[in-house]
Amino acid sequence: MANSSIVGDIKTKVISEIIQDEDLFRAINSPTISSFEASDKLVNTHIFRFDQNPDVVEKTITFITLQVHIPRSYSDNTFVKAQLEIFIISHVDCMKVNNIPKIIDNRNDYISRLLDNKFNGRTYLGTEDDPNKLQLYGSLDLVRNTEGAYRKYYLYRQMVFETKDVNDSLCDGGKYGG
Amino acid sequence: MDIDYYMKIQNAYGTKSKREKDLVKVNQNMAKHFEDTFDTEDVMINGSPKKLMIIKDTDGNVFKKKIKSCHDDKFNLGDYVIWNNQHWLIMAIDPDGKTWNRGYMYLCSLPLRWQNFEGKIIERWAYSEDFTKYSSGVVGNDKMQVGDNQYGLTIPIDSETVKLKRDIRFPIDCEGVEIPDFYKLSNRKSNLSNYEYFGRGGIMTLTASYAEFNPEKDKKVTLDDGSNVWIADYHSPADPPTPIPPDETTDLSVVITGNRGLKFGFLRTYTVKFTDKDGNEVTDCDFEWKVISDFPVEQVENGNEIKLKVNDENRIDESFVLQVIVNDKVLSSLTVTVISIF
Repeated sequence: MANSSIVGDIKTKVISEIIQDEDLFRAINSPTISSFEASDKLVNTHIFRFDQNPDVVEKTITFITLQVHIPRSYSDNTFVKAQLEIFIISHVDCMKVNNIPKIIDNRNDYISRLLDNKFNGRTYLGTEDDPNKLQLYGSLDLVRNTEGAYRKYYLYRQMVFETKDVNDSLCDGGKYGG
Repeated sequence: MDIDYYMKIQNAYGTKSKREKDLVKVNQNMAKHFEDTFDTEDVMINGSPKKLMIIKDTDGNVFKKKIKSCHDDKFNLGDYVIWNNQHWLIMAIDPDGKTWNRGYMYLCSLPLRWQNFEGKIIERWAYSEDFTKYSSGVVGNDKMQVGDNQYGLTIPIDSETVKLKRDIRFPIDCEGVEIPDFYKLSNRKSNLSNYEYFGRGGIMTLTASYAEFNPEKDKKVTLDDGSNVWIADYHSPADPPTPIPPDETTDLSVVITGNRGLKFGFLRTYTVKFTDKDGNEVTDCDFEWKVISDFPVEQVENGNEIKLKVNDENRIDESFVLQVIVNDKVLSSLTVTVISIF
């Protein structure tokens, strides 16, 4: 496949898995979407497949942005490295997880723990019942999990997962293609 | 002739010089003719009926009025004037009150409401100014933007407003709007016009900066007059401990006081107080503490006090019951919930 197709594929599968996970739904704790059955409404309101929340934020919320980067190839250009970068951003008033009993982590830490448990070490993306699972060449590994202040009153946690994909130039009309 | 009597009939009683006598006479004449002008109006000042001369501002600022009152009818900074069904705030006075009292009042445009520490809802009408004249209304970076607006709000200095601290939030929007804009107190200037040290009142100017609506904390509540208003960071007034009615056999009323939320890992003290049917404290009551819990609760008893501690963070959100037992009977109990330290 084309190298860049993995960009959209990873985002689609990861978002699909997040919105089907009730623990993550509760952890995001949308003030406007209270029913898990409507968790698809999190997309473009609390989960964005690009590095921006395009709306002026007028409520204390938690939101997530996903980006996929292909910074460079490696292994003599046989594979390309694909990085999934997830930002979890919460208003400071949302940091306490007071909607889920017994959680003493702050909200960003808790969501990152759930995402780590869910995706770290995975060799495919897509839910169990997904007939079009995205098979990975190797595993999706968490390589970075850092935190900080995003802007006044907003805190973030940044997670970076890495995986690899076959370099498109080996196939089709590429360098070694026919 | 009695000199005091003579001074009284000459309108000079209490004066020490001809100058003072003339001043008294001027003030008496002013009072006599105060209502001769169309500008003199019946108003309420801080709830009391008064006469006030209300004169249009020479600069054409219709929200600002020059005011005068008779020498004996002093008004102070921060007094509210109700006139024409409008709320006006006295924001300038001439502290020299030799003759009549002079000052300026400004038209208030919004009721500022908040909840004090005891849970009581406080309301003060505020004179508001735009402190963000050249902002687009949003601020942020490439990744996210939030609202950007600041109001300058002038209110009186009083026993409630002096307790206002930075970060307290207020709803500031049109009445009846579904979800109002909320603002956070980011600055308070309390000593630009504070004449309290010589008894003439004071006003403070607050800077309120835009803050996000918090659906979990900001609530619509019903006031005593039946109106529904938004209150930021609303908390129910603390429930006082309910004493169990005096037992017929003991005539004792027993109240346990202490925090109902026990942070795990911390010792907290709980105290019991015994009173008889006449309300007198009983100090020599023979009783015992009892903790009913499914998990370990560390207990250190010391007379009418008991210190409790839960060390297991897995018990957060679980509860136990603290009881006071007298003659094998439970005379008071308190349910305590283990909470997080964060």
